[in-house]
Amino acid sequence: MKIKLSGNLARFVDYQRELDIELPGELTVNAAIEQLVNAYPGLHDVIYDKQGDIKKGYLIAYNGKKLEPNQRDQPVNAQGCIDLFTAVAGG
Amino acid sequence: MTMDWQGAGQIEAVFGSLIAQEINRHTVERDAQALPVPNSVFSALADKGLFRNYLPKHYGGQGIGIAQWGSMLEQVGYLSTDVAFPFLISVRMSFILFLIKVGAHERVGPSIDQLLNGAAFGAFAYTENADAFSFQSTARYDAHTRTYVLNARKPYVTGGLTADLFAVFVASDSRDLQVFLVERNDPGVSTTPMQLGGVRSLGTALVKLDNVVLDEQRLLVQTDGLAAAQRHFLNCRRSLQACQFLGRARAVIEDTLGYLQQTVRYQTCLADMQHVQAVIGEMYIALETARSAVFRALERQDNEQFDVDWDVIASAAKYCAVESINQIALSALKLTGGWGYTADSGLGRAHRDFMSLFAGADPQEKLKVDLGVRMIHEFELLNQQRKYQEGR
Repeated sequence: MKIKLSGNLARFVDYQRELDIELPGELTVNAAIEQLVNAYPGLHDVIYDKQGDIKKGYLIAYNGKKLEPNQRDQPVNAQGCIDLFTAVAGG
Repeated sequence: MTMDWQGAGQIEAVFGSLIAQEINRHTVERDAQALPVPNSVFSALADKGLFRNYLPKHYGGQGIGIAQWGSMLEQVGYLSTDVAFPFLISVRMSFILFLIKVGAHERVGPSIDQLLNGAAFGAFAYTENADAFSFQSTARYDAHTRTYVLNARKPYVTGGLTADLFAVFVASDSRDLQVFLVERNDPGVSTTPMQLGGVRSLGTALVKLDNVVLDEQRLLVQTDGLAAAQRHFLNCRRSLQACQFLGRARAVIEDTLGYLQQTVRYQTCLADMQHVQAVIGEMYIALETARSAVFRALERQDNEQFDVDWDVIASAAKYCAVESINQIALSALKLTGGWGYTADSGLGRAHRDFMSLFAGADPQEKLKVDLGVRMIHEFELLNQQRKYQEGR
């Protein structure tokens, strides 16, 4: 499946905007993001907090629809696309 | 509530004399010498209960919404010839709310009491002239002593010269930020005046932390400090911070009108000339457009229609307000000639002060980039939705 990254995340994936991730089987949005992090370990501390939850401040969408945190356990398929957008700015 | 301008009578009745005597009488001198507004004035305001208006009810406050609080700041800005004064009120109130939001009561309760009573004042030590993923500040934990050792250099801390407490944002080992409560008197903390082009009485400071040892209880936010900064400091203040400037911009228009009505050229009062009237009309349009944007953004915050992490409407409102108030100040200078450029008129100072918001809570050009990126992203999501629906 495709995963699109934007904002400050790009630097952790060699500035690729769009990545293809192999799905080992039927996965949820959360699990697909874990697959991404497994492929790019530099993302781990950027995306997850110390409790292992996705940090606040990320907009996550699946097939163009934004997901609330409690909707990220929905299944994804190999033709789908997850968008991971950094909402935070400032500095 | 109506956000139509109804004068500053409510604020003037309670705080007018204090503003006139303690702020306005010394504005020119403070500006010339870059003297910070003294804490005694804020203590007097605290005595009169100013900070309790916007304090949540569960904390013993009035619990007015942010739109009403913004309206109060606008009124103070209208009355105060030194816009740094309401600017600091706004920052210091936000600091109190920040501690309430992020700190456990047993840790921050005593500090909040001091802040509410005007016995102490707080400041945010955030920016490092870098994006938030590139902060150089550090916090090293010592498990034996259960302390942190902080090193940081924070170049523009609003109100830093006169603050007693700092919320210090430090890069963490998990590519995020941690937030610590630091006291001015902690060994290793130093402040140096930072001279600015405008708002020179803000007491802006370079705050340095050199091997500052803090008990672990001073850690307010262990992880996700970047989101805390966005939610409870930057994003929630982005449109609010324009309010006092809107009040001052109205005063600038009125001061300009006062001059134009008393000045005669070619046997005609300047205020009676049609081109002059058109420029005044433009200034008024700019002011009310900015007010509409800012108060809409604040009302969305009150109504929980607000994106707590990064609100596009609040960002657009800040952008619009800053462009508008600077247009107003420039027009005032263009209309009033030599008089407008004197220190006594205050118009040149207002222009310098208004330009400070070009930088505050993200520079204008950065906001344009962020808003553009967001709009493009929303459009891409729409396209993805269409594509997915067509493929089903």
